[in-house]
Formats: sequence, C-alpha cells, structure tokens
Amino acid sequence: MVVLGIETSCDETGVGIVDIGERRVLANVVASQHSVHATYGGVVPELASREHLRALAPVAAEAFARSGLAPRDVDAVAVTRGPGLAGCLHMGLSAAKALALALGRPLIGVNHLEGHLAAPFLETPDLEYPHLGLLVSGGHTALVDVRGPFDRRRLGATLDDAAGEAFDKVAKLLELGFPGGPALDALAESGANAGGPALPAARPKGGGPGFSYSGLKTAVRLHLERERAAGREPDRAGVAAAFRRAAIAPLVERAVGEAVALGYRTITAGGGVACNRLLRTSLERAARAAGLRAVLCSPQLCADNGAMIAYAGGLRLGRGEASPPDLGVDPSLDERS
Amino acid sequence: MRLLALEAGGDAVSAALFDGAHALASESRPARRRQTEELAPLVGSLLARSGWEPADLGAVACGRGPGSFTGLRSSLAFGTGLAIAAPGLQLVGIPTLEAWAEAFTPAGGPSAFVALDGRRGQVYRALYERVPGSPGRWRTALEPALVDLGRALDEAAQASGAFRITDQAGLPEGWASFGPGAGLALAVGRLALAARAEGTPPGAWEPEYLRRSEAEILWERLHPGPGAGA
Repeated sequence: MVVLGIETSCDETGVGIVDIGERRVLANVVASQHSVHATYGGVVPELASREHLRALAPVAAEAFARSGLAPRDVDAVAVTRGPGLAGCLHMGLSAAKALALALGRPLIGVNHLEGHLAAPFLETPDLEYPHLGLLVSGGHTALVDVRGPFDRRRLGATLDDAAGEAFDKVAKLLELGFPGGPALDALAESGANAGGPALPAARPKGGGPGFSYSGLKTAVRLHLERERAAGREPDRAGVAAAFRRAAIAPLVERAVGEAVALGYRTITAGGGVACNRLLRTSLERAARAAGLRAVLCSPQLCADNGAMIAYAGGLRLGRGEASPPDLGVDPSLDERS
Repeated sequence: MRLLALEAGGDAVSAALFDGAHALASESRPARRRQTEELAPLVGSLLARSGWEPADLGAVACGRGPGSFTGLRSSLAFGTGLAIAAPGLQLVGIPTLEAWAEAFTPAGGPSAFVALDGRRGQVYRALYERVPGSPGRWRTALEPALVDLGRALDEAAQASGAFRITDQAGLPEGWASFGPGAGLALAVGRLALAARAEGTPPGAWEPEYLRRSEAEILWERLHPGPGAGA
C-alpha cells in the first residue's frame, strides 16, 4: 500500500510518499517558510497559512517526481489533523480531502505526534514495541511509553514551554535570529567546553515527573541582563552551551531512567529538537551506558515531514480506519489522543 | 468542458457544476467556521448526484475574495488538491465581489455597486458595469477595496443607476441585501466560463484579502521605520 502524507501543522509544508508494507520512503519533500517568519522573530500563523496554500502544489509535484509515481498510484491519502496551528492545518486537510476525493481513495486524519512516534520505524527495520519515545519539538516535549502503534501512555511532559520553544526564545535573547534553535546549537558547539554561567536544569521546581523550561529561560535572561548592566559583553557561546546542557540533560536522564524502570531496550527520539547535536550524542552515550539502544531519525524525519504522516496513517488504514469527508482539524490534540 | 465552481468566502460553502455553459447542479450549505468540514461532502454529493467522476472535470473556478481568510484559503486549497490529482486541471480565481454582482443584479441592470461587510465599520466594495452583449462579462469601474462605510455610501450615491448589493442589514434605502448561497457558486462558474469563452487568461489562484493580517499590522506598529513590513 502506497500512502501519500500531507503535513502543514506549523511552518513546514511537507508531502511524503511511503510504501507502508516495505516501510520505504519513496519521497519526502519539505518546503520551509523560515525566511517568511524571520522578519517577525517567530512563526506568524496567518502568514504560515498563506505560505502553505502556495507551497502545496509544487511540493506535491516534486514528491511525485522524486517517487517516480503518478497520483493514481497512491492508495490512500493521510493528513495531519492536529495538533498545530488551526489555519495551517486547514490547508493540508482541505487539499488532502480533495486529493482523496479525486483519486477515489480513502482519507485518514493523523495525529502529528503519532507521526513523530512512527517515524523511527521508517529507518530502523528491526525497531519493535514496546519502547520509550521522546517527543521534543517546538510545540511538544513529552516522554511516552510506546506500547504499540496505537497504545501509548504519557510518562511526563513539559509544564510550560516546549524544549524547542525554549531554544528559540533563548536564541532570541542571544540575538541569533529565527529560527534560533539550530543557530543556538551551532553556537553552543563552539562554546561546548566553556563553563558558561550556572543555570538550573529544565526540571520542575520541587521535583515531579515532567520538565520545565521557564525557570531556565528566565535564568538566561537575568544572567544576560546582569552582564550587560555590569558593562560586560556576555560570553554568548558559553551561555548557549550552558543553556543547551541544562535543557538537554533532564530529557536524557529521564528517558534513560524511565526506559530502565520499564525494562525496555530501546529509546526513540523525534521532533525538531531531536536534531540537536548534544541531545543526539548524549542520548546515544547514556543509552549505551545503560545497555539500551537509542534510535534517532535522520534530521529530515525528525523535523516535521509528510512521510511520517503517511506512515502513521498507513498503520491506521491497515486496521480498517478511515476518516469521513467532513473531518475537521483539531489544533489541541496531544500524544495521548 | 466540465467545470466545478466554488465559493466559500462567507458563512456558507457553495458549489455548482457546469457542463459547457449549462449549469447542471448547485448547492449551498451553512458553514460558519466550518468551510473545511463542509466543502468536501458538498462537492462529493454534487458529483455523485450528477453521475460525474472528479476526473471528468476540466476546470475549477473559485471565489478568491475578499472574505473569510480561512474560508477562501480552504476552498482554494481544495481546488489545489483536485489539481494535484489531475495536473492538467485548470484553476480559475474569480473576484468574489464580481460574483456577487453577477449573482444578484437583475437581468438588464447595467451596473452593480457591491458592498460586503469588512467589519469595524468598513466594507469591501467595488463597482462593476455590464459589458453589453456579453453575458457574464463585467468591467471593473471601481477596483475592489476595503473602505469606510460612509465613503462607500457616498461612492454608491455617485454611481447613478447602479444596483446596490450588500450582505448587511440596516443600510439606507436603495440597498438590496442578500446572503451567500448557491447563486454565488453559479455566478462564479458563469464568470469563469464567460472569461474563458473570450480567451481571457484565468484569474490568479490565490486569495485577494484586501485586508492586511493582524500580525503585519501589529508588527508595523511595534517596529516603525523604513524596514517595517519587510
């Protein structure tokens, strides 16, 4: 079964084409809107919706060209229905409905986070359930007990900002532009060995199972204000490195700790922050030290993309599910939905 | 050629099917904030009722605004989705105010002044004049724009003989008030077919908002200067 997946939940327009049975990505094209939003220092939902409308046709055409398939070769159409920015979700969903209608194929609405949890299977043929899933993106940060493709339990989530959101906000404090996460990661690499300021790790005050980024973010802001008030130019690379360590360490510790406690052998990581170099190296190292395996997608499958939506949709279609033509968007879905 | 016409810029979604110049079927459904939900079932049911397959379509025409941002984009994205399946499909954007003129001006009426709710005391307005002897062809005498209601009323008063069309209640005497409905999709289709018959290039397949987004306005307010709105 070949499924075409459409992803428009935030600021990337993605169309992927996946052979579900073979777990093979035939095409995975993503058009980024970063240059549109850079002026505003963050994603502007209204402008993102406009860009999705412009990008959908060319991105789909490119996906067909790369796959060597024609539209009639597609057996089903999957689309992100949430969570995400409502206006953006409408664009993918409306186009997907029309495509499904025109091809006479089933439509399946997909939870974006289920897509992120499914993505590792596209590159790791021997990945099995159950395992521990770490979701880390600009909109979500959660540890998930992944018992099966449709059976999962939240083990902990952020109490405030998502990890990626904190990276972007701190990058803004460091005047690194938008999107700041990758720029902060690169700057942190250059300051990786520097001490940097003492910053609180992204854990909730008083303990608890989740994560918290607001205190860490505030600590960075106060540090920069103190330095500038004292007439000192802040050591930006040092701050970036210290922030990155404080942001990433709790994710890795909790992921490994939960996997060990559950008796699981594997940890997967998905979402844009799973591209972060420190997260990748430290998760792999900590997992190995605990006798576990860390499965990290390639950057294109970590970030928002259509292939993961196609695959997650294909799994649901495989058990007889399909969505009605009056399907609506659901911007507030979470990984438990 | 078989054409599907769509209009979803208001509180309803409307669709019509044309076989050549002949309007075969049309339907409208209330869809306030539900354009994405309602459009696909509506089009699916129209096609099924007509015994047509989507592949039979040669063109899709769609009202491109002004109107509800999400409604406009949702209907245009729907047409885009149809064209992804059939890359040869022609996509034709139609100015929504012109569709209102075509839909509601009495036969023989020489011109139409259209003023639709733009919120905050403003209206989207335009003035159209019928092209004599060319059904479905209008000349734009006053380009669509978002203006204060008072200004639109003055302009309409100067457009002597124009049939005055609005979607608002409570305008002075002389204005005819209408709501969205199947007639609008039929008008979108007629305009697209008339333009095609004359060899006019298809209208742009993108929304005509006529209003800047709140984000852009807020940004410029917070960042005055030569770089604003870049």
